[in-house]
Amino acid sequence: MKLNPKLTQKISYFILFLVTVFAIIPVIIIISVIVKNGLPAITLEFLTSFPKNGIRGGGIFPAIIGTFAIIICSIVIICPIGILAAIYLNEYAGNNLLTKIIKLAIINLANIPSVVYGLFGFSIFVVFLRLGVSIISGALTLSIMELPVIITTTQNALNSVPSSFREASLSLGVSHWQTIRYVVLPSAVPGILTGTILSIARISGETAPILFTAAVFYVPHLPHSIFDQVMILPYHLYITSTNVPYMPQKLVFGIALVLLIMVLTISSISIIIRIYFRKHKKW
Amino acid sequence: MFNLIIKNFSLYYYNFCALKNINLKIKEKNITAMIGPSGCGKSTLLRSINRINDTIKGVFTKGNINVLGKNIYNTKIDVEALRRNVGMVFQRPNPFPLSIYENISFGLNINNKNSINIKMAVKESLKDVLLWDDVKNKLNRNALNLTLEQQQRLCIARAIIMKPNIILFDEPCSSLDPIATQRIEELILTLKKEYTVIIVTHNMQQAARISCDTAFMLQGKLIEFNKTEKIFTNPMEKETENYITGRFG
Repeated sequence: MKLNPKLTQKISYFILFLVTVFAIIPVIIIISVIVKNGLPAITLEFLTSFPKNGIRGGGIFPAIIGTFAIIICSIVIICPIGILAAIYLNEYAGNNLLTKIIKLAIINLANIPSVVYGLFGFSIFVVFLRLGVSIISGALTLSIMELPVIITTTQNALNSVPSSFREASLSLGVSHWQTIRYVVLPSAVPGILTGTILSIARISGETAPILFTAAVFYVPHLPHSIFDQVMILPYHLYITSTNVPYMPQKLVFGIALVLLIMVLTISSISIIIRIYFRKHKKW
Repeated sequence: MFNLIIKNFSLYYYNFCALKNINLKIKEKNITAMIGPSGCGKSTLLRSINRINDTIKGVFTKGNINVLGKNIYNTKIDVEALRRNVGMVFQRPNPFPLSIYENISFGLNINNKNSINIKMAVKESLKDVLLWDDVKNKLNRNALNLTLEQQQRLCIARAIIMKPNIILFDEPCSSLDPIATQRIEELILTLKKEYTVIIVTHNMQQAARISCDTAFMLQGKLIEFNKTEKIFTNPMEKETENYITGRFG
C-alpha cells in the first residue's frame, strides 16, 4: 500500500517537530527551575559578601572572584599556546608521521573525561611540581583540558580564510610568515576569538579538573597570588548541594543561577562578536 | 630577447603527470597567450612560472624554467624575489579585505627595500590601470566595495606596483561581463609596452585579439607554439586545427 505523499509529508514534519521540542524541553525546565528557585537568593549582599554560618549563609563573593581568577589565568596560558600551535599545524606542519601523531593526540585529548584531567593535574602540578592546591595548578589543568578545543577551533578559523588571499599575498613576493601575519591572521581573528570565548565559557563551568587542583571548601580571604587556593563557583555549588547539612536550598539555587548567568553571558559575548563580524565581513 | 625560457619542464601531482616535457621561449615585452581545453595544464604551467604551485601539496617538478637567465627551480633561488619579479593576476579578482590604498601598497609596505615613496607609487600604478580617477577620493574605502572590473584593475595595479618584468594573467576576464572584458583587454594591451605578459585564457577570440604568440596545450603537452596569426589561420598540427575550429574543447 502506498501512502498519500501529502500525508507522509505531514507526518514526517510532525515527527521532526516533536523530536525538536523534546530536545529543548529539558533546557527550558532546567533554566526555569534554577531561575525560579535561585532568583530570591540574588541580592547585592549575596554577590558581594563572604559566606557566614559555616557557609550556610552570607554571600559567594570569594567564589566569584576565584572563578574569574582561574578563568583569566587559564586564558593567559591557553591562548598563546593554543593559537601558535594551531598556526604551526595548519600553516607549516608537513603531512608526515609526526603531524599525524600530533593530530591524533589532539583528537584523543578532547575525548578524555574531565575527571581524568583533574587527577592528572593533581599528580603533576599539585604533587610533583609542588605548586600545591592553587589557582595556577587549576588553571594549568583546565588549560591542558581545553587546549585541543582551542587548537581545533583556531585551525578551523585559519582554514576558512580564502586561499585566494594567501595566493595574492604570496604572488607579491611576500613571505609565508608575512602572509600569515598580515593576511591570514587578521582575517581569522573573529573565528579565533569566538572559539576562544566559547572555550572560556566551558572552562568556567567545569568542576572535575579543579576539584583536586585549585578549589577548597572555604577561604576567609581573597586570593593574594596565583599560588593561593581559592573558592570557585562550580565547586562551591557541588559542595553546598552535597556535603553541607541544613544548607538553605535557596542559596544553592542562587549559586547555580549565578554560574548559569556567567556561562551564558560569556557565550553570548562570543555570539555577539560572531554576528558583528559576519555583518562586516565582505567575503 | 627571450626573458623566459622553459626547458624540458615536467610537473607531477603525486603520480599524475600534469605537464609533459614542455619547451617554450617567451619574448620580452610581448603578449603570449596559452590556450587549450580545461585541464590541459595551461594554468599549471603559468603557476609554475612564479612557483605559486609550491603551495600545493604533492607537486614536484623536473627540468628548468629560466627567468632572466636564472633557473627558478634551483634550490638556492630567492622565491620571494622571484615573485616580486613575476607578478600574477588571478581568475577571480582577489583584493584583500582592506582599503584600496592598503591593497595597492601591500607588497611595497611589507618589503620596501629601496624606500620608494609609497604614496606616489600607489597613485602611479592606479593611473596605469586607469582606476585613479574613479577612486582618488575614496582610497580609504574597502576595496571589496568596488565593481568586479574595478577590483580586477586594482589587482593589476597591486601587481605592477612591484615593478615586475613579467606579469602572469590566469583567465583574468572569466568572471567579468563582455564590456568589462573588453576594457581589461585594452588595459592588458597597454601593459605590453613595459612588461612581458603571459595570459591563460579559455576564450580563443581573446587570445586572437590581444596576443602576438599563442601556445596551444592539450593533456599536459605543448602541441604547438607560434605566431597567433599562424595558429588561428594556418595551424601546423591537426589537434590545434580541431580545437580552434571548435571540433572539441
